[in-house]
Amino acid sequence: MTGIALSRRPVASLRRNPAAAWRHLDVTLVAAIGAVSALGLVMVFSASRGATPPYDYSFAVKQLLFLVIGALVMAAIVLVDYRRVRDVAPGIYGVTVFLLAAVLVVGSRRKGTQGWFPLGPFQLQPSELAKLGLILAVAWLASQFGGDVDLRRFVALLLVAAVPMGLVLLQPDLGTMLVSAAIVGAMLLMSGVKARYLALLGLAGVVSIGVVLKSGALDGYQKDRLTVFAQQDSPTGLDQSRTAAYNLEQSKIAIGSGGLVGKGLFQGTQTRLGNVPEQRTDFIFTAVGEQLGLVGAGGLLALLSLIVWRVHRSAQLARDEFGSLVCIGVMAMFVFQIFENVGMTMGIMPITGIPLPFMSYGGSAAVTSFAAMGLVLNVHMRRFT
Amino acid sequence: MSVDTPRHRLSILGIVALSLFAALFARLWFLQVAAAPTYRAAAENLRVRTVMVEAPRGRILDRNGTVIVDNRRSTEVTVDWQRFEKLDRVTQNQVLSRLAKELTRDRVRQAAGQVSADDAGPQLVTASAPVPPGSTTPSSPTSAPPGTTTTLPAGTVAAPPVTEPVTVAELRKRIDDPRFSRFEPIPVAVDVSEALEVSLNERADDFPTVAASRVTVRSYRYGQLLAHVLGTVGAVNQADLDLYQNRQKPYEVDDEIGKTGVERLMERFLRGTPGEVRYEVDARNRVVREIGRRAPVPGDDVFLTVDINLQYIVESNLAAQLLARRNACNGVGCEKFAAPAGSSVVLDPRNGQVMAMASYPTFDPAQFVGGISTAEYAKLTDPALNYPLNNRAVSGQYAPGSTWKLFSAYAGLATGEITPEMTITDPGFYAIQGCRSGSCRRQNSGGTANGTVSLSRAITVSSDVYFYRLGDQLWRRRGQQGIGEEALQRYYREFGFGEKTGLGLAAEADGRVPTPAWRKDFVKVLYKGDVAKQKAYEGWYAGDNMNIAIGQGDVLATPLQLANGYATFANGGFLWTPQVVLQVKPAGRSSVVKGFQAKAVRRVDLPPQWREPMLTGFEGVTSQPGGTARTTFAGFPQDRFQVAGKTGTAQVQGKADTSLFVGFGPSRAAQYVAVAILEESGFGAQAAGPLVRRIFEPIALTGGLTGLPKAPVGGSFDAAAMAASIQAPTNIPVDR
Repeated sequence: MTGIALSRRPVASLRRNPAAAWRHLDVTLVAAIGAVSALGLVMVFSASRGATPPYDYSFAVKQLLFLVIGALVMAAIVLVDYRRVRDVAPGIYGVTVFLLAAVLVVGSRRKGTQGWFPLGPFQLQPSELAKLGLILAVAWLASQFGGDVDLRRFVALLLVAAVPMGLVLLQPDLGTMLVSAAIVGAMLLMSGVKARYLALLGLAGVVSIGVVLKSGALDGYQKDRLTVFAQQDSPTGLDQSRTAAYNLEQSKIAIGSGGLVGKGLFQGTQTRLGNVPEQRTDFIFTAVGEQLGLVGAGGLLALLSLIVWRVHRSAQLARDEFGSLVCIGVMAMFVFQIFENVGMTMGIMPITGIPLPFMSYGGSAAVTSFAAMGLVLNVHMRRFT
Repeated sequence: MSVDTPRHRLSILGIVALSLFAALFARLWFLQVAAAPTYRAAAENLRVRTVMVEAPRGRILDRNGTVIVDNRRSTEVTVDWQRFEKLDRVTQNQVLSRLAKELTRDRVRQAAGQVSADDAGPQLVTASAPVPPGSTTPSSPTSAPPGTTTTLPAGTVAAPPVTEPVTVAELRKRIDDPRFSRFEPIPVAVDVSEALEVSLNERADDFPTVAASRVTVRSYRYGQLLAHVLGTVGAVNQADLDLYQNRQKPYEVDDEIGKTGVERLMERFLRGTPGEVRYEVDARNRVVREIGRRAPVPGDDVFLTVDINLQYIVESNLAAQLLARRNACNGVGCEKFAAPAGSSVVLDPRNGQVMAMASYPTFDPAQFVGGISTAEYAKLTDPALNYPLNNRAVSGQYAPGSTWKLFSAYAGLATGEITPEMTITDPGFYAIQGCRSGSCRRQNSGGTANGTVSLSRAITVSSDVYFYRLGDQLWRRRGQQGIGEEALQRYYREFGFGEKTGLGLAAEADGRVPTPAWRKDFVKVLYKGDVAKQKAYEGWYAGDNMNIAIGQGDVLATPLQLANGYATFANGGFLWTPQVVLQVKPAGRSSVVKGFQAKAVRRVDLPPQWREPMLTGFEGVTSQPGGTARTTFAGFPQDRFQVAGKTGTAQVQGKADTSLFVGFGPSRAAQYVAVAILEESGFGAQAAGPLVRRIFEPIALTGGLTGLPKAPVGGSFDAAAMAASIQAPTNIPVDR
């Protein structure tokens, strides 16, 4: 890689330090992030501007602000060597656990979940940030073990993961809990845990999901969202009076009616007329599907898979186990969120409140996604130093 | 699993990620390519709302094109749901409370007669409406002015308007009623005054989302005239929708639909084709913009066979005649009849067209516009008020009495039991042959001995003995070839009795031609479970045959059936399906959409050698000495318009006799058959006969319908004044 770069731009390479970290910045990843964010901004605007003039720009403006803040956070993280981040990882972990505990006491409630700190006009969702704390903590601890994980160490890793996940479940925010589970699962797999432990863990996960659904931990609305996708094509049909069923139906109509090339920007009737509930946040993918069709939505999936591939590649190329594990955690987080979010809009996954990275409206999610990318870029560009 | 290295595990993660993306893309492909048409249609359905614009109903005109039912403009108050929904709850309540107050005030003022709901146009005379132009004397239709001693059913007098206060809750319920489309203004009050309309528009700031607008509603130019034939309109209900699936003219909640009469019969034509406005709406059903519209097309004009001027004569005289019978005096003294109800039909025997059709008591179809109150409707269906809503001309079933003798005579001729030349001696009574027990003698009414009577004479003087003998003989001969147990009944049915005529107006009755078999079934139902009584009454005897021969016993006929039976005789044997609709034309155009031709049910064989002597007999009724209606028609211009006819006086158990008369004329080339049936009114020649005379008189004097005096707009008449001028003919032959 470096050699090719040298031969292409020999003058520059002579004047500058060929080992400088910024020279190894993953431009492809940055470009992909930029493209998806820009598309997301346009989609948030189309889904929030209203049916008739005067159009509402407030959400688009706020989303732009979130993206800028996110990009700045990403840049800031890139500037600091990830190994220094590694050294403070336990501290970051402590802070996130504290925030998760605090939100249960002083947080505000929305749709049955106590997960937000009201900060003036904005709402901070600590469970979003906690995903990063979790990734860093597990990566830190696992890298201490150096690939030799016996049962005791395995339990230790699980305990580290279980504390924030348990707090998230108390809100209850099942979506974030599931993302966290995916993150932890992938990271454990890569930390050298024996396959049979992982199999047991998977079994325990399945059982616990069943227990959660059966117990009263989730209220009717949340449970409905989770289970409705399994009944959509049942012979008795969906009970359209159920909110979740209505959501799913409107979502599928929006995407399906987009067809091959879509109805055109601002021409989507489902999007323009506000027929898809929560479209600018969790159901933003429907705006793409309706207005830009298979070409646009397929293109978006391609861009997202490009991001995932670059993260995966960074994990491969990482200089140390900590870096690699961080990338694996971020990759798992992205893959799970993308699959779950896009899947639920198309009726192949249960409906949960998981945002689509760089697309969904929302500040906490945007900052978390950018910060995660900052970590990956950091690991990637410092793979030689 | 043999080579479990971190590198392998990373590859596995990559493959997992890749397959998840592949799954998403596959699902995306399915939704956007394979299932796209379905979802595209669903999205379009969600986007577009179509709002119907109701079209004005077609008009109803008489045979000469005189408009009878039109549409008038009325003012209704509406609330725009689209904007109302955006107001906050407090403002909503303020608006509704103000509106309720204004509406209540308007109701009170309208009731007090200070303001009127209608803009210019002929209207029924009621307490709250101005006197229509063209009527010189302020009088209420078919009812007596105050001060007369007559007692009329209250149902015929316009009820005072109700002045219950309008409440906020009532208004809100109406606005929230999900059956109303939220894309058009929701009507909350109809027929408000112009003053309120002006006030609401002036104070628009106090009444946001409220509007007063003009709508078209049914307007009855001749008031109550022809009410039963015209029928009523009302808001469409589920039962209507099941009957009237109409793709071109779909119905919406609160749309007007014909409920009875011609409004019902011709619904498919009278209903206009609704226009539509297509809106794009958002997820909360708020209109974003208009996409397109189609103008409504008014319904077709329906021309009736009825002549409105003749109808006026028939209907006013029917009411007057009944009123007169309630206060009747003759030479002997004053005998007051109940005379509560009656009916009259005029048919054109050449084609079965209904020229006039009246039923008393009647009602005001305008009451049904915009919905009739339960109390008002209860009055119209009250037995104590003699069911004003019933059209007795088609649904009233009466014993026809002596008018039935035409059909018995035909049966006698057809079976050969009698011949025109044959005479019998009528000593005033008839002894049943072979009778040994019970009452074996039947008397003529009044016991009059008519001496030697032929067929003609038997009809003219209405000899019961002649027809008793016929009934008795036919029953005795029932075992013979070609006679059977139903020798009379067979020929009654020939003339259309015992089944609906097919006029098409709702609630038409079958009438009844009783037979031995019918008796058996009837008794079984009547004495259910009581076998002894069943056995005692199930038999059919000579006396039964004699009874039906003179139109008594269990024979029942509707006025229309009777008119149609006589029309068949008058025209030489064609039994027509009577018709009340002449043609249908598109609004404002002269091309006929649908014309209705005369339709014969069958041809009754009436050779001249039978018909001629019978006709002579019917002519004699009104002109020959001994004719039962000779006095009734004394002084009638028979030279210009010879009337043939038959009186009937039917006995009804526990009540005074039903007075019947059927006349047709000119007798040799009949253009009119008139039936009059007056309940509890006495002899046929005393009540029904004079009514038919007064129907025929103007026709005879002016030589047809064209010269008849014009029916006044509003259709009102002074029944009391008319009744006062009616003198019952005295010294008439007693006739059953």
